[in-house]
Parts: sequence; C-alpha cells; structure tokens
Amino acid sequence: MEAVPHLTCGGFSKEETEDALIDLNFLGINNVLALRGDPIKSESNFSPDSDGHAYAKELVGQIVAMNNGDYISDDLVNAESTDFCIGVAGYPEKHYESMSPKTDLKYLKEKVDAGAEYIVTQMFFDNQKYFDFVEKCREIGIEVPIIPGLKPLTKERHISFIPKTFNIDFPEALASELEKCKDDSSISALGTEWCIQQSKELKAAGVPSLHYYTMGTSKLVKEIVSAVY
Amino acid sequence: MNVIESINKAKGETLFSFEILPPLKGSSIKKLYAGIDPLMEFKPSFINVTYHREEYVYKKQSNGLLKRSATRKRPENDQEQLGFVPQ
Repeated sequence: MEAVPHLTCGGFSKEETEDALIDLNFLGINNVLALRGDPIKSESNFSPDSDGHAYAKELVGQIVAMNNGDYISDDLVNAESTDFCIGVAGYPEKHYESMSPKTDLKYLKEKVDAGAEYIVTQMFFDNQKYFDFVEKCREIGIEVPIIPGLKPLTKERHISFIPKTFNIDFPEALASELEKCKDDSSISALGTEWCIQQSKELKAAGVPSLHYYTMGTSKLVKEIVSAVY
Repeated sequence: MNVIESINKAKGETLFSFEILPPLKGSSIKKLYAGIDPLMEFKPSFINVTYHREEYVYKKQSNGLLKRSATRKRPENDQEQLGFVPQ
C-alpha cells in the first residue's frame, strides 16, 4: 500500500525536514504531500520555524534538491538521491489567507513550477467550482493531474465549521436541504447522498482519483465508494 | 508505485484514495485499522496520513498566572506515521 505522509513547513527547521525525508526514504516511502501547514491552533497567523520554510513551494524546492542528491548539509559528497513524488494542495475556492483567487492560483503555479507533480484539492461541495478551478489552472499553464478531495458532511457542527474554517461555500441546493435537517443522522444521510452524486459526476468527468477525507467516517465512505465504483 | 505512476498506469480510469489521521494520544492503533479495513476491498491506490503539529495549552498556576505549554494531541514522528499503513 502506498502511503503519502504529509510534510509541513510549520514546526520544522530545514535540517529537521531533511532528517524526516531521510527517514522516509530509508522506510521505502517515496511519496510526500508538501504543505505549509496550519498555524498553531491558538494563533491566528502562521509563523515558520526560525530556520524553517515559510511557503510550501520552498519545501517542494528542498525535496526536489534531495531528489537531485543535493542536501542542505553542504559537507556531503556524492550523497544518495531520493526519489520522492511530490504532491501539493490546491484550493478551488481559494486558500483562506490568499488575497484573491488569481494570486492563489499564482502561488499554486509556483509550487508546481518548483517541482510538484500533482495537486490534491481542498474539499468542495459544488463540482462546478472544481471544474472551473481545473480550467483556470490549465489556462495559466498548470498541466499536472488535479485530484479532487471530497468529504461527506456528517455532523451539525460541520455546517458552520467548514465554511468558516476553510473558506468553502455550500451550494444553494445543498444549503437549503441542510436547513431542513434536524440532527446529525439526517445531515449524515444527506451528506452521504450529496457526496455520492458529486463522486459520480467527477468520475464521469474522468478525474484522476476520488480522494476522500475520511475523518473517522470510513463506513460512510464505504457506502459512497460502493455506489460509485 | 508512487502516486503519479498510479495515475499514469490507470490511463484515464478514476482511482480511489483516501486520507487518515494518526490516532489521538491515548487512543489505539486498532481503531485506526478498523477504520481502514472496510475501505481496503476497493483497493485504494494510496493513503494519505496527516501531520499535526503542537498546540498550546494554558494552565492556571497557584499565583493566578497562566502558564503556556506545548502539547501534541496526535503525537507521531515520520517513522511511526507510516508504520501503521497496512501492506
């Protein structure tokens, strides 16, 4: 089974990042998803480690350098090259800190230009947002596969938490159905059905993979996947 | 096979993949396996494992001031992250 560990800028110096990559390489892991990472929970702004990366594109750069045998420890001679396949995150509805959708896309392009081979998206509930995002990526020369990320809504808490935390809108059709839901079980039934419909449409459009944020809902994800594949 | 090789090999077929979180401190790895098990029959091409950095907690001291300390709710290091993904 291929494991894709998430590697973040936050909380790591460049040397710790290098050590982590060496560990992964020794374990035979050759995938990483390179992320800036969240701010510390009680802090509103992200601050990088004093000797760490501030942006995912810099982290991508370090991994690419190691893939070329170029470590930050400059006393190494003939160091082994790693062979990491690097993914990065994309935001169909813009990263919540980005100034505009256009600047957000520019940052994504920089991550891909730095060496990312594919993109996994933040969750979304309106497929049109994904399709538009892919189109805009292609327009500015982002050619790599763009894997849609999906999550079934299962809890009342999600309804306020997701739009607020991730800058994601629910489409009107979903929002009006959610308004009728009285408890977690009705939300979960609606969320599962919505996710099945999203998945079917995306699969029909030939997306590279359907990537589910399971978050302890693997029984529901099983229901969704059974309906789709 | 890495992610991009899986995508290329699929030749346009849509793959299946998912993301899991490492267990909370004090929770068991068995629960995580139990969560993955029902999905294995669909032959996921890859499984992402998230990373969770430290958080700050504030505890009141006897003098009334708050003391900040860092804690990790989902402790892991990179080796352990991968140890639990089933083969």
